[in-house]
Amino acid sequence: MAHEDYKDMLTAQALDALEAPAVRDLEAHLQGCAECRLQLSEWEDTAAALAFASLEAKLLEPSRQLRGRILDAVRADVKALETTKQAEDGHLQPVNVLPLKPSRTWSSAQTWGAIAAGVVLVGLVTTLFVLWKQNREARQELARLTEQVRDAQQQMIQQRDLIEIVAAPGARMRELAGTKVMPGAHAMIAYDKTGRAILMATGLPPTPAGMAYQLWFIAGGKPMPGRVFTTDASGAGTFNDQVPAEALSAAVFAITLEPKDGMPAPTGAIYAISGT
Amino acid sequence: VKDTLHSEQREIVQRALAKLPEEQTRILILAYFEGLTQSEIATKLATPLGTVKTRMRSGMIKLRELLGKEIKSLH
Repeated sequence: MAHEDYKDMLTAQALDALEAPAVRDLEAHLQGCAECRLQLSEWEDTAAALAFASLEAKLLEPSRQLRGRILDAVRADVKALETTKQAEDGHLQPVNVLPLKPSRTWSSAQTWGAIAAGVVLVGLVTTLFVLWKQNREARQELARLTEQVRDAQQQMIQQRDLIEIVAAPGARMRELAGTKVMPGAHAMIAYDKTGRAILMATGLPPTPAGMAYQLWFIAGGKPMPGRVFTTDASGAGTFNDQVPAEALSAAVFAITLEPKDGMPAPTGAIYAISGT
Repeated sequence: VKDTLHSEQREIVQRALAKLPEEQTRILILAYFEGLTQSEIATKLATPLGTVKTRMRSGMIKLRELLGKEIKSLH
């Protein structure tokens, strides 16, 4: 195989899309070809940029070690709380607490014992408070991580939907550019021939209370309502929708700001719109 | 700030992808996100292997042109 043949394989190698025998041949060539090694590195930069086309924009999930550490801490806290409660209920007497004998007058030893018991009680209360606080923090952390995992699962589903739609025969993609209302807005809609669609929007400002963005399909001058959606803190939003049959062959797509439950016809300003 | 920066980077790449011919975008997405080889993509899209190879290479060349100097700032 000639040098030029290997050069043609570099883009596929950067995408990790070469078949195994071709990878072996190319790797053997790369060992002796500095030019191809340099070009492969540049193509890998281009391929890596595709990661930013992903729908995912946040930490997906905690590492296994972090998750295990948090769960261990919660279990230890719960066990400590149960032990302390049993001690207070008398089921498990702490070894350093002296039982008080019924007596009208306290001896010196009894007085010191009472003081010691008081100190132990204060210590137990303090320990209980610290454990309660740690337990509460651990539960809050777990709730936050659970929310992150839920978000990640939702994003993975949308990523899968995007791939399925894009890979379907007859799939189409249209770009929506920001209008003068919001020049930085941008969106892309991909849909297959059945109308199954996914829209990815960025650069949209947070919606005012009681308002939401709404997608519109405009065919033959007639706007048909799509779903309403909101954006995250970074101004991005992704959702699935269904392109009406009338709009499948030729349509203009637009995003407007509407009341949060959506409108049957557009009433608000257009933030992004596709070409005709 | 990190979310905003990430959003800008995502927008740059999405704009570039939107400018590619759909068949090229589809092949790049299947290779990168689905992890398919050129033969697997050819089978999935019922397209000749040679066509897949050409579109993949053309798509990467065009993507690199569109991203231009932005590539380094993405990493």
